[in-house]
Amino acid sequence: MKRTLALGLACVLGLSLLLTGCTQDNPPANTTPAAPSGAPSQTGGTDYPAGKMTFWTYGMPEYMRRYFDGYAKREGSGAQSVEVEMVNYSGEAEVRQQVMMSLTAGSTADLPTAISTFPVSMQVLAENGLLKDITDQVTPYLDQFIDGAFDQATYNGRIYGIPYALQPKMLFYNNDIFEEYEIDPGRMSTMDGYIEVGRELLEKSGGAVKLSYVDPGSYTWRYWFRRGLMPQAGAKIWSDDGKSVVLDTDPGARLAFDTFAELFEGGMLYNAATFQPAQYEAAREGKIATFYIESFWDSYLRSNLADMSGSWRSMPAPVFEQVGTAGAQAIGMYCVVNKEDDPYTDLFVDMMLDFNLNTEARNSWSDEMLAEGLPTEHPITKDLLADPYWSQPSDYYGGESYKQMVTLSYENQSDNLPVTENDAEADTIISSELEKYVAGSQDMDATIANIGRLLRQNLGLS
Amino acid sequence: MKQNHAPPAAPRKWRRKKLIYPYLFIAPFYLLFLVFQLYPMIWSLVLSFYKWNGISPQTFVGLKNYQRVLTDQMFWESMTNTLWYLAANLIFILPLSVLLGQLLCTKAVRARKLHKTIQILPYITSTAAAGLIFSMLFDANIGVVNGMLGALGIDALPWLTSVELSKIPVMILSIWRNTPWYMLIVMSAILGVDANLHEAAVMDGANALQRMVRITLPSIRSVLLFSLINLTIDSARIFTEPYILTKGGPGASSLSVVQYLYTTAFDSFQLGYASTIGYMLTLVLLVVSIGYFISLRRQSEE
Repeated sequence: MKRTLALGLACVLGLSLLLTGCTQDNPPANTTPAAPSGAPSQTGGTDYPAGKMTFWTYGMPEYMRRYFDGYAKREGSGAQSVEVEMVNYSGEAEVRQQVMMSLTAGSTADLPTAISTFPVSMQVLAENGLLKDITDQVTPYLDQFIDGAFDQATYNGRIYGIPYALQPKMLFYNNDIFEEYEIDPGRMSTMDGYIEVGRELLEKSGGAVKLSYVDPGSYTWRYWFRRGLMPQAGAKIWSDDGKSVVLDTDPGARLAFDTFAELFEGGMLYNAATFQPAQYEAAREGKIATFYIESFWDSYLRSNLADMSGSWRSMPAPVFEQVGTAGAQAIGMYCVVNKEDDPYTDLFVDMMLDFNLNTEARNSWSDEMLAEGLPTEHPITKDLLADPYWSQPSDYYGGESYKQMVTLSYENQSDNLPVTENDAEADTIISSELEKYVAGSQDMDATIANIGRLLRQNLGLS
Repeated sequence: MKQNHAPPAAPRKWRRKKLIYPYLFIAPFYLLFLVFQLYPMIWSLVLSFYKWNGISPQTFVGLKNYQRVLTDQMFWESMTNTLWYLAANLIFILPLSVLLGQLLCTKAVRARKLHKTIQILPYITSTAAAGLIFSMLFDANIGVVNGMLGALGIDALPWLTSVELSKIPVMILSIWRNTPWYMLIVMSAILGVDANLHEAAVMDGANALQRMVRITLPSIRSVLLFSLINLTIDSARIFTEPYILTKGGPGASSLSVVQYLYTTAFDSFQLGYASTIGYMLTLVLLVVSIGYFISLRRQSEE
């Protein structure tokens, strides 16, 4: 009896280990190779096989899918039988989670053709051979892109991603408020001027109109600091070799934190969660005069404050006079997953290049998006930017050209903060301490000191 | 004539089959348990001695993760918050469950089925949906709660954005969500109490409170202890409520341990350290559960 029981349990255990073990540790390069189908017929190659080309992405991917669908259906694309599937996740972290899960489960065949990701994850994935090096495919076209377009898609001198958007830091302002209080928006071209305007708005409105917003959660670090005040103040989190923490001693970081403290403690920021109804309502009621944020905010304004058409304007973000550049741009990019048997790798690269370089198709797509109040992306290639379409005025911005302002904003961007393997955890630590500051439970000196201490302690750095 | 009524000896093969069948019936459970629970548990224990971002090769770090967790301010803050949530749940949910359960067993209450249906609604509502509604209710600028306080002449409070107050909405949501489930368990136990005991007590002149304290509560003691253990484990694993309402903030003021584990694993991508956090929580729960079981054994011996 005991022997039978032991034998039975051993069988069950063995089966379970077999089930779990046999699915592990298959690197993507070891999957059964199949001949790639070759280049698209546009370039004289063969047609792509019928099937599904999958993207793992986040945000609002459906609008780009329309472009890709259009490309696939286009005569000569060789992709008429290819279906484009955009699997949407809640954010970049979830896309990386999915990749991680597929790898751990050994189901590398389930990985998509391409993923949308951030530089920090791109570096980890590239280092482990999970992304395809597309340097050779992309290099012939680099001159056509604006300067620095591929900086965040490059790791160790090789290109692993194709950007589809570079969203510069901008300033969106409610022109009605500025007219009412007779304040010249042009004064906001510098950070000092921006703060002065904030004080004046508070004074003239009896405290009812705040200069801008503050988010009680993690968006304060993301939008005000990581891609805003920090890069434009020339601040650093890490030493140049990335092995020690300098944020609490760096003069640039001090400038960034002090500037924010001046705005926040001066009562110039309306406290409401970003992207939430309360914030839109406050903007609608004229309680928030400006938004210091990336260019993507345009689509949020148009969709959530459509009734304010004609009230909003945009301009490049204010700069610190002593530095001279505005915030850093947020990259939107797709990276090709390193799957040898994926027949759509070349199709994907062609599709992304077409999205960036085909003026006629891109303008037509943008018109379609704007007509339906959907998001669009500003081009990042020189020819498209030179096209008159991308300087057209916009009714939503009272006849001013938002598109022209984005182009103008490209010209004065700061470099993004250097990315290290510790940045994901650093974001959590820094954001948490900033949240405490915004909640009023510690002052800015304590916030900076705590950030420095926790970064060293948790990451084991000097 | 003496007859042999003993059944013919079953063939050996048949007897062996008979012995195997029960194990075959319970095998699916063990198979699933081994694959989806035991194996991940062992794997995560091993992982807790490694540094791993989920993609790069794993690096053995020995006890470093355990040393780190002992000095990790955010971990201890999240552990303290979790204990607050646990305390609030134990203080409010069980007494409320007994009270509501008793009320619903009282014949004097009219439309009891309707009341039961209404009271179970919070439990069948998705926590995520309820969390979104609560976040609107407690919004500092447009929330109904502050609107009501304003009507009473009280200043608006930053429920979700203050370090001091952020745990309160999480606790309220957790109590509101979980009370109905424990109410159902307690109610079914109350219905099982011998009615003769109550009738005798009534004849002896005992009032409702006395009957409740002297008859009902002692009779359902084992069910209450079972609920206590379950509620303790459920509360220690709280995740959705703070995740939806406050994202654990501001800072880590409303962060729960499981939420910290999740953030560490899937936002910071430190899977080894996240496993260590998981094992620390398991250790705490193990100590608490052992305490409960010892108490249960003592009571049953008495």
